[in-house]
Amino acid sequence: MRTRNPNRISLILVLAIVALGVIWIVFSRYAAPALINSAYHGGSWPIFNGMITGQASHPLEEYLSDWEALSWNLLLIFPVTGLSVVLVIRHMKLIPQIDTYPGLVSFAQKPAGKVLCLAVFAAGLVLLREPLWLELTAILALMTFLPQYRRICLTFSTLYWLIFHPAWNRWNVIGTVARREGVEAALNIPLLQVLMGLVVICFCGAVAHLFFRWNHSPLTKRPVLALHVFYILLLLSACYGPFSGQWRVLLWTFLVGLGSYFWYFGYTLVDQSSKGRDPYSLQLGTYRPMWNGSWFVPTPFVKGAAYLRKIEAKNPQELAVTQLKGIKLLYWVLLLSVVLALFIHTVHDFRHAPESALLNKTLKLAGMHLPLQLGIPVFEDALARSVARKPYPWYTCWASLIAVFFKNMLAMSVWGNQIVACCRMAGFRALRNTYRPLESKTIAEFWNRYYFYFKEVLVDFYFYPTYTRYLKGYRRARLFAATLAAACFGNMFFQFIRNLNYIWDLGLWKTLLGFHVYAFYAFVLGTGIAISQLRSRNAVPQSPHWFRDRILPSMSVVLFYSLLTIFNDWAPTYPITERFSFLAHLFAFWS
Amino acid sequence: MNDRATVRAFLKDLLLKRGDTDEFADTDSLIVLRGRLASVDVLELVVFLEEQYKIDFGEQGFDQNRVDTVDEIMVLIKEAPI
Repeated sequence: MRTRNPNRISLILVLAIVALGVIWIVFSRYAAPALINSAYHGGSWPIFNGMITGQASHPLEEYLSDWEALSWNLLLIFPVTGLSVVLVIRHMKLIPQIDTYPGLVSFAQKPAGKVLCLAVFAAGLVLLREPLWLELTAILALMTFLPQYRRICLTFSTLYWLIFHPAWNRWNVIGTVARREGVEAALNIPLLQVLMGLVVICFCGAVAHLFFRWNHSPLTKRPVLALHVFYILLLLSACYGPFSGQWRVLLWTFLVGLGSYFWYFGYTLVDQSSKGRDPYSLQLGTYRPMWNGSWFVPTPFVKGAAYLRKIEAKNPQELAVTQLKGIKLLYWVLLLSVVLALFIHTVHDFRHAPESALLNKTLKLAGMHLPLQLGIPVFEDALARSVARKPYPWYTCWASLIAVFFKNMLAMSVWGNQIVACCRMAGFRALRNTYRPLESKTIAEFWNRYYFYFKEVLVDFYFYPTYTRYLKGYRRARLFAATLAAACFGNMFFQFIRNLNYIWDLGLWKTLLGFHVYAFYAFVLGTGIAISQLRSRNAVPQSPHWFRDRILPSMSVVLFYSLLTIFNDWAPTYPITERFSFLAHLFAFWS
Repeated sequence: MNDRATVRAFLKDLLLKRGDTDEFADTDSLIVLRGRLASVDVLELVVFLEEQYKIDFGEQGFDQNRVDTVDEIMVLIKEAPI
């Protein structure tokens, strides 16, 4: 017996509202102005002619302008209200749960279905302005039609990305070093970057081979620690070693290259003890994989080879469901990108709004502009004014701080979840990077929901090792130490090696000193998460009160992270005293 | 109660603390695929395995992929020195 899709009526209603919206845009942009023009000159039907009587005192342009504002407001109000009502009444998700429709899952396993899924996904990438959408789609198509070679395709795509899109973290340092050493003309920097990339992955392969072979020696038993020590020694050599000219450039290039792959390589090393460990050729696929798209991402999305083995779709049905989830997530990201653009446009102004192809194209086609701008200063501006001793009023600073919190949250969701969507499309059942952060009731929960894969790096490399090795007899102290090791020390180390440009420009010591603001941030964050974890060990209340147990904790979390934003800056710009001054100004209403 | 039942009871209790009352099979992923347990819950599991089965993760290294399902935890317990 055929089962009827429970969301069918909801979908029809949504499509009807969207269709009405489109009809309204066409009518308000093309038909109505002509009608107003005609009525203004008395050439329309009497009923319309009678609506315009002030020709003597009001020019035609005024009527047209009023109509534009009215039509735009109506366009905003009715569809938004209609969609909200449908969503609430029909208990419907904003993005349909297409991965739960049996017919669609079955269709997505057939060649035509696969092509359609890829086309829909590619369209989403284009709308998100992903510059490498064509290459991404081509590789995804290979992985979709040849799932048995998925991991090999991933390795080839990684190598392809390394050679043709070799974005590295702070790779401009190499050019700066070459210029200062006077060898810029003698070196082809882009070629050097590609060659050094290959050298780095060969180096990682050789080291991994040694670690895999002698994994019981004292050195290789602690691979993450060994990697940290090696990188720090390399950094010290680059800063203080007796190198000059091309040798210095080569050393810094290697430092930047290895730094870019540091965490990716770390996952290969911790995979050494796994039973079903992948050979290095497959481990390589996880080194800045193609689903990162055009971004350089120092955080391994989605962790290492061990994780990929676990989350890989094992059969055609799992692949179809995973890909449909990928499409669903990508379109959710698209929606969020529009919300982000609208948010920034409305809260700040158009200069700070990111480019949203969907929003811009829609507005351009409709010939409209957003009617509301609150003009709240961006956080950087508010802080700069405070430093210049010309601060905005305390309430404006609060608005700016809360706005940057929500802006960052939306931006993180758009950025990270686009990567996860591509990963799912490749056939890996990855968890979302940002998942309902505003539902968090504790500081620790927010940290888990906000930037999942960064948190996972810190958990895998610092939290678990510290917890399982030290302070075993002291349960609370053990948890506290492990959390500080991850959220404080690990977090600082991650950001420190990510910003090699400051180390080159300012020197190691000055960079360390300039890092004091971020160190404070990381310490408060680590302490906050640790306390939150210790407190949240209590059981969930049986009958939670909606305000005391739901709203209030969420608001407290937002407040904590908003205030912490003041110190969340790894660039040595303003000293900590200026940031405390800004913090004090927020509470100026008490004085 | 046998080891499997003990582990299941412990995990059920852990999920209940998070307000998660859904059932789970022995092969269901609790961490990696579904994220039903957070890292801090995994620590509770670590302490449980250390105290109950004398597994020393400090010595062998900890990999959350090896405690993702009841079946995987059982393998770990079987490999334990006692």
